[in-house]
Amino acid sequence: MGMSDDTGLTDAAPRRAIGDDERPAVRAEVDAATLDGEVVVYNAGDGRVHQLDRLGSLLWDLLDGSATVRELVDDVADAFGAPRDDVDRDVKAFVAELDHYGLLEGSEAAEPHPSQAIDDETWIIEAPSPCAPSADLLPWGAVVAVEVGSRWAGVRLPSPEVAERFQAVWTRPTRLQPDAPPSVHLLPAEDSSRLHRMHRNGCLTASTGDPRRLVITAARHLAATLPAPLGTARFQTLAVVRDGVATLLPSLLDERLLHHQRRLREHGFLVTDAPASLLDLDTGELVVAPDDLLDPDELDGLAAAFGHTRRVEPVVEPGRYRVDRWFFLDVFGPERSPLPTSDAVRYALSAAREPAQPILEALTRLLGSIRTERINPSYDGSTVDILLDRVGPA
Amino acid sequence: MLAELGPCPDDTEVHRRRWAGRTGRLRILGLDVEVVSDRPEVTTYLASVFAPFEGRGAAATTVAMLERNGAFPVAHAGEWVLAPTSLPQAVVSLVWWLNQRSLEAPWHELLVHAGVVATGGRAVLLPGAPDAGKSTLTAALVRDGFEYLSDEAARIDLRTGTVHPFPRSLTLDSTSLALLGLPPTAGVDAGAFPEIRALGAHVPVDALRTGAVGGPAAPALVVFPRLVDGATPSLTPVPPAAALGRLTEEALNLHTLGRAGFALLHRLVAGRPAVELRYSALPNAVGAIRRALDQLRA
Repeated sequence: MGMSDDTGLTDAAPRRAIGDDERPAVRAEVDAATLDGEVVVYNAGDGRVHQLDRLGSLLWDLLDGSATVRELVDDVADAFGAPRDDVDRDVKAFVAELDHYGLLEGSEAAEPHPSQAIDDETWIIEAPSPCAPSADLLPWGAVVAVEVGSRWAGVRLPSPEVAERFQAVWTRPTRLQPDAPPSVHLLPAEDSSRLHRMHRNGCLTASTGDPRRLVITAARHLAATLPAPLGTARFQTLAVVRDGVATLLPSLLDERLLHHQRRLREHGFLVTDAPASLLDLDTGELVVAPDDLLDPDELDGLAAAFGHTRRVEPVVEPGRYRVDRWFFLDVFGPERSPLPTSDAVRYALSAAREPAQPILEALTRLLGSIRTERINPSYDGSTVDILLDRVGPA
Repeated sequence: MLAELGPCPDDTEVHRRRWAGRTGRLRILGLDVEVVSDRPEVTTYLASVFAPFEGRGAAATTVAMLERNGAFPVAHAGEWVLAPTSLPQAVVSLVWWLNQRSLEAPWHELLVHAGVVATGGRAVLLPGAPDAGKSTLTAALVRDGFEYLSDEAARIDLRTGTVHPFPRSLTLDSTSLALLGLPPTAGVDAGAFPEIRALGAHVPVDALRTGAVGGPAAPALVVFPRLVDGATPSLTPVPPAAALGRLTEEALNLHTLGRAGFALLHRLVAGRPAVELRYSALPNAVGAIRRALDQLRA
């Protein structure tokens, strides 16, 4: 392989076989910049940028249509004293890549392979307005209604084909329902304008190239949109459960939560899978409802549908858990600092999915009677130590 | 949702109506616009956020925010472009929409998605993804004495390579405000919509440091910031070819400028160092960038 394109995606579409007598010539409208012996190629036709590797950079200036592939192979093999078969394979692979991306005279740019539509591309999962005010104006091709709890929630998808694939791997009841209230948007990154992605800050739930992760995250997000039962409130928080006792780790940045959840699991912690956990406002307990979780069998089914094998991760069983501490995750804060109750309430309200006024009194009471600290999850080792009680309070 | 709003007023209707609030002409890069509304508090807020872009005379296009059936839809060129359901949401959406449209409008300079600060006529470009902490890092550098050129886009002259200021208000959340040593009330007065604060304050540059907006500067250093768990600050050279590849990813209008834009980026990386800054805490990052500039000067 002699090049990579700027999307970072691996395009698995088949390449054309290159013949010995072809005389590859770079299109006139393709620009290249040579920097410290490395070549960066810009195709104004499709806007793609490609960075060539060592062999590609070496060959680039020779691709003017005067030399055959056989001659190019001979020259390189002679110059480097390399086995001719190896050079032949590498040079042809490189020329095939250039041809595939429409950089040579007579070649056409390849369309993305249809079978890659879900598996190999990055997808964006996001909540609807107000974070993504333009989402209502995007041309959504299909809405699949998914049963969550006792109601139907809409998943907006870009095309009927993707909807079919989505329904095929989703193990709970689904139906095509154009007017289902949208709860989650799933869109391939390439369908979302660059600016849309740049301004998504507040609304992005996750972006992923892993289809299993896509479906699981969508499920978690759908569960989080369920209305909180009376006397409870939803918070954007992870919950680490040990010996039947929970520590809450709320954060305002969902993407950091996902990242931190993964890290904590790697360290063997039992972490809830719900992005918005339920809290009993009277007792202060964490309430893990069955609908907040995907069944382990379902996860296995999803993984198998996409040809993955899933590492079995223990899940927090549905039930009620006493909460002993709130650690507010703040990536810009100091490594660790105590958080006065008034500040803790302010942070907690920011992480709450409910309106502030009705829960303010209960939160002030609950947080006033419990340990609250602010920790920076970037210092990952220390977070783990804190959770394991290896070090005392700040 | 859009169907429930009824027919959208066209430009003629928008121009004929009397509006309670108007922003006046705003020239934000290639976007030449005036926002009108039945709610004067909305246009007052927007005029404050976009004060650096105030223009004279008539705008080329008008955006109208109406109130219909409990929603606050926004009309532009005879089409609904936003359909917010509350006033704070409408205001935040309009700021977002105006920013987005301004960066998408045709523009004669190369626009690179980057924070930009300068000192002594030398600009530091900070291209990077949203989660790299670009806005907060830019704000911290300005608080530390750097001139502010932009937290969003470097405007680079195609011929000279000079970077020009695009001093829009910064959008900072409460955590960033606290970290920067700014009061929670630092943004544009949100008197009419206190709920806006939960979505991020719009902070004029003067609130960071009075007179902080700088003039045109020559690019001296490209820093790709990257938040890394637990990292002590480190600067790693980025080979020029890789830097060029990464800058093209952040170029917003390369597709319209084409080869001239690519040639400019080539010149940019060929003549000056590019580094990746790994950091986990803001003060350390500011210090690292200062040291890198000092080394260049030496």
